[in-house]
Amino acid sequence: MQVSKTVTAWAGAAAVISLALAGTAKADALSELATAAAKGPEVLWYESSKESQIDKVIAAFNKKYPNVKVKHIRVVGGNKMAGRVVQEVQGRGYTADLVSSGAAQTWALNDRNYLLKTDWSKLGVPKRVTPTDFAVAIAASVYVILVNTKKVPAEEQPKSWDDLTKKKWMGRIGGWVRAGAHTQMSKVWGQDKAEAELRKFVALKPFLFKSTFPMAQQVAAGEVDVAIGFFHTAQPPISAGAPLKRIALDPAPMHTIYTAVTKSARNKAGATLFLSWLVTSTGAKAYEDATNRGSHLLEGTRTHALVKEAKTAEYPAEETGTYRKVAKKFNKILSSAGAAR
Amino acid sequence: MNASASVATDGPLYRGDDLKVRWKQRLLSVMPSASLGALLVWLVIVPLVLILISSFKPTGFPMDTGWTIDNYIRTYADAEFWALVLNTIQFAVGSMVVALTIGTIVAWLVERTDMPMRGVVRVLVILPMATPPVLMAIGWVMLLSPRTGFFNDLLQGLFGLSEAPINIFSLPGMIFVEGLALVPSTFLILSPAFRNMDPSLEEAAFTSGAGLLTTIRKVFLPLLWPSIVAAGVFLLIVGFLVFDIPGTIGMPVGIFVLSSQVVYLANDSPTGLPEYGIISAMAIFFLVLVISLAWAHQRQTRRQTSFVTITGKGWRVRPLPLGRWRWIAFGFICFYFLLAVVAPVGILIWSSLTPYQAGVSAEMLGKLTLANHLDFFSNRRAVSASINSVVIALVASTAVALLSFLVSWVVVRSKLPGRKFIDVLSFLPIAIPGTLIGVGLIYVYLTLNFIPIYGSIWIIIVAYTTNYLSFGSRATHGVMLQMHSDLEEAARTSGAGWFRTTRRIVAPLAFPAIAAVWIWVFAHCMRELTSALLLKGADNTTLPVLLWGYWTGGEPNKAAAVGVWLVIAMLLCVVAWQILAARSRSASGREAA
Amino acid sequence: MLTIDHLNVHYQVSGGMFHAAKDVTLSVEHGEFFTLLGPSGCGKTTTLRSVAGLERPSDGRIVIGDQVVYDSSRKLLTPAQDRNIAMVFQSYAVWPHMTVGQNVSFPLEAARIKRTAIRSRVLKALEMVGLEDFSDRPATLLSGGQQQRVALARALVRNADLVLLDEPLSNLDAKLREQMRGELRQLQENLGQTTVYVTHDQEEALSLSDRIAFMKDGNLVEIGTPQSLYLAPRHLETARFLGQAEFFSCHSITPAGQGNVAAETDIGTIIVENSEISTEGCVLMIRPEHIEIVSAAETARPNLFDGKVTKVEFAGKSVQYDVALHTRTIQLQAPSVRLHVQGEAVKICLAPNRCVLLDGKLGT
Repeated sequence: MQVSKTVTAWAGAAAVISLALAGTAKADALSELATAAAKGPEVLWYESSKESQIDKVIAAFNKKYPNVKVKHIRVVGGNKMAGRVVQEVQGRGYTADLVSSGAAQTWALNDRNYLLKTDWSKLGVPKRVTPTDFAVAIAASVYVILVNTKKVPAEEQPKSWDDLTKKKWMGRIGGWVRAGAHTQMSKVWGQDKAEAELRKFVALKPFLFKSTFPMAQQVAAGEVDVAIGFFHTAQPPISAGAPLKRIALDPAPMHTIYTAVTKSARNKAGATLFLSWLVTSTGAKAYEDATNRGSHLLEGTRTHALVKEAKTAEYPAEETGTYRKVAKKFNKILSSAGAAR
Repeated sequence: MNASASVATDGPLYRGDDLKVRWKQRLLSVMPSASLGALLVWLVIVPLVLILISSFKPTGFPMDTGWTIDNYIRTYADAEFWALVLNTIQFAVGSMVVALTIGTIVAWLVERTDMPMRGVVRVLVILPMATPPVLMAIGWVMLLSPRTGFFNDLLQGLFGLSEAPINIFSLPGMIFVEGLALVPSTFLILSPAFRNMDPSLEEAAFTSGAGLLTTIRKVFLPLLWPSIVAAGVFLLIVGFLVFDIPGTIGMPVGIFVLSSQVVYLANDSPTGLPEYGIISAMAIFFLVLVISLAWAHQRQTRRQTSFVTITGKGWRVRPLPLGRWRWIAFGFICFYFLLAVVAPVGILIWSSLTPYQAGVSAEMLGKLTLANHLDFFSNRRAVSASINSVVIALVASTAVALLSFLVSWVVVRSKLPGRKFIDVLSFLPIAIPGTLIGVGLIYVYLTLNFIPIYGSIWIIIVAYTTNYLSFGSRATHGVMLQMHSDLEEAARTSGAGWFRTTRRIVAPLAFPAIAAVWIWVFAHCMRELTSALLLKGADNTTLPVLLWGYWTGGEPNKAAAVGVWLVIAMLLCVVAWQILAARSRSASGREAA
Repeated sequence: MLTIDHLNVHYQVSGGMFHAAKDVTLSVEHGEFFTLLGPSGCGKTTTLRSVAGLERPSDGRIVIGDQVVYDSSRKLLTPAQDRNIAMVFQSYAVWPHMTVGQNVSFPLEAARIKRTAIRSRVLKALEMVGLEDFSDRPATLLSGGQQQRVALARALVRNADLVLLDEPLSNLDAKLREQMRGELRQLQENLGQTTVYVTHDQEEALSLSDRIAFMKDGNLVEIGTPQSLYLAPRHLETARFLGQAEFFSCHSITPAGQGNVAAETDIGTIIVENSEISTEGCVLMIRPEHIEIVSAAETARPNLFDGKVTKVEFAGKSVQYDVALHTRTIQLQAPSVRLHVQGEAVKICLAPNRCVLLDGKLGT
């Protein structure tokens, strides 16, 4: 029963996609996709945000497409999600229809030939969010300066990368235990300067946090006075009224979040439809409002407004290999911070 | 009148020697151990084999092609690995010593002396176990951080110090917190052993005029040795694998341990996929460590009879009068409680009432709110998560208690072939990082989809049962070793078969240990996260997963609220358990006098 | 009632196998009180536990009544619970979580006897050991002697064909031990149950048993009645273990008429009554209480020797003397009716009917 349903959905989707590829108008392509999607099973989506947040995104989607069911399963982000996808494909032949993850993970999955290639332009998806045919950039984690406004008066607050490496932050600054920010900065600065900057940062004896959400909270609590953190992870304490302020960096390092449709998806049409909706202005806004993590590539989002003045720093997806090498080296330098004490 | 004639009228008990009965008996006597062995092989060997395969795979995924020893070279030829091992050893040994010292003292005071309020202590001592360790760690940071710590502020204010006297962000800080966190486990392993010790032994020691140190060295240590070794080995391994406390307290100042490396390789390695190959190669190190410790443990306890303290010569449970030391002991316990229970639980409650992470201060008082608790209760997912958690905890703890008891019986009591193998099997899971057990199980139940438990609470139950079997069997081993074999043999020569002997004699005598295992596993299931996250499907969310959701969603205060309710649930559970235990004790008359 | 045939038991110990019982063969008659006696480690407990089904022998055959419970050639081993036996352990093995009554009723419950029948049988068993008022007491609140009685009642209540007792009195104090010994023998006589008793205490063995099997190093050395083992042992080890004795190496043995023999020893010729042994290189044994101090005028009796008292140990009803003969000193025990003093010249007489010739050689 399940199998035949899957096959039907598959066939339907394939037909519709090929129709779409054949050059039908965008609107037609979408509505045909919607029809096929409604016949398929639930679209299963692996994503790492809270269920209550994604519920809102799905509700927004269903306003437009009430007949396409999407089910979100919150899966630990990062490598473990990709690991789970690999295991599921190997173990039972299929995994979730949609997988949201970082560049490293998405490209690793594509290396295994798990991701479906789609001609996104035919569906009206802007080129700038589809650097490749197997993944769509839906949002970005953007690094910002976090400051505790109680501990640091306005005139003292750091405004730039140079401000951050001043001696006065010795023992008062925090960062993520992974050298992601500096790694991405090496794309703009070049590896040598980025490494020098990282070493200056390490010399300040920074407090390193295993995860950036608690880090933002620790800045709010005054455990450290300033930190290099993510824009979206600082939102909860700020919303709760904590004495916490975000200051944009220029250049601003970031990690783009991609979403891909899997080859083993059981409702390919539904997955494709949902993903194309997610990067419309409605979808992007719904996603950012829910998760505080928005797309810098799509106008109308807060993230876009945040970084539009600044230069962004990120290895493009196709340079993921270089990113990995630099990250490995930088992570090691950062982990020597303890020895410096 | 001849007495024999009158007794004999009821007929002989002789049951005959016909072949059928014999075969049935033999089958029945082999059944428990055979099925136990099979079950253990299934629970333990299967994930282990997958780990072994993983460690020889270039990608670390066992179903990928190719073979390599590169993972081993990359792991063991790396000087950084051995530096981490050194750090980890310091941390693990340190916290073991702290936990053993405090745990032994508390267990002795509670079980053997007339210290006031022992019943209350017994209930409260295990409360911190239900708190997810990450919350515990952050609580301690809030108490002892040199910049914002409550105690530091307090001490600075009291004594007019210019600098914070305590720095939690240090190796001793980590050892202190981990040591305290492990005291409840130590207590639970040791307290049945203390309870089962013939009091005449310690009275004899005290009245013989021997000094306290001599008494401890000559009487307590030898008698409690199996349990102490069991606890020590267990604590050591836990110290090797635990992440939350070193991750929260050590990592900020760059003190890394092996588990930090495991977390890095699983989550954040820049390859985009978890480096299960290297993690598996590292797990082999843990396995070798555990096997050698288990072997050492076995050698230590080979001469079983020297540890026997539950003999057929009955004893009365008579608390040792402490005299004027009574209140000093009570003071010690109060101080311990302040540190281990009141402070962290207090800070947890504080956290759950603040809108964002903030230290204890008068200024924050005005901002306290019940919103986090209300949010927990209005979250529609909280109900199903609570039900899931309780079902998982109930089933897994019962399974572990039952299995541990059987394992200990086979290993310690029976002379069945292969019992050493069963012993090692039951101990191995402790060496497998939770992540790897999860990874192994995913493969097993994805592939064997005729056992449809993938994505359900049952796969989590399997994971927890496997994981906690090590603790359980260690705890029951100690008591089995203490129990004189005559007690069981007397039942068999009374004509009772294996099942009746076990049910009526061995199980009731081992009950304190079995109950301790049960409550320990229950508490840990209620808080365990790693494998639950990995095995998460659509409908098997547990409370810790929900809590983790808040935590990683940047809402630690809502996470704290969940933590508070976990502690309350645990409190109710422990109180109920104590009442039941007290009732069953008085029913059997054991402590009637 | 009990037959043990070529029983061998091996234990796994660190460094190999330990042969705990070597080719033990014996049989116990119906209603007999049979004792396995020997020093610790002699294999007596191993043998008893093999009968009980608590050890797995390596070969041999054990039959209880008409039930073959172990037969290595048939690969048959009946588990303990299916053997028609009852056992009392050295440690009492009273279950601490039960009351006295629960302890005693356990074997009957295991046999699925009806509840009403259980109650009366338990009461009877408790009456036999004098604990009828203690039925509802927690077992742990009893004294050592009372606990031993509970263990005894628990064994008797089964009314098994064979009762096995493993050093049941060794944990009691001396006075209680003597009292219990008497009660035990009385109970056994009243009930007529076949009893196998293990002890290392020779006095216990002599006073309780119908027959005694003496064991050493896993071997069954000798079986006999208490009298025969004490007065006329056939093995040096038995004579040494049971009671005190003086030993003399014999250089030669010659017939001395009337079935008597004359043994040539270091102290001179000793006449032995009715000895069957005539081999050379054997040993003559005599118990200290069978050596008499006679008057200096005595000449008629055989085995007279002159000596001098070198040590006197007064023990109330008897006195122990060390008497130096011309080649060696011997010990003897005499009633306190007449006392001798240190340094006194005495004449002693070795009772010919109590002199025993044994195979073997004395160590140097």
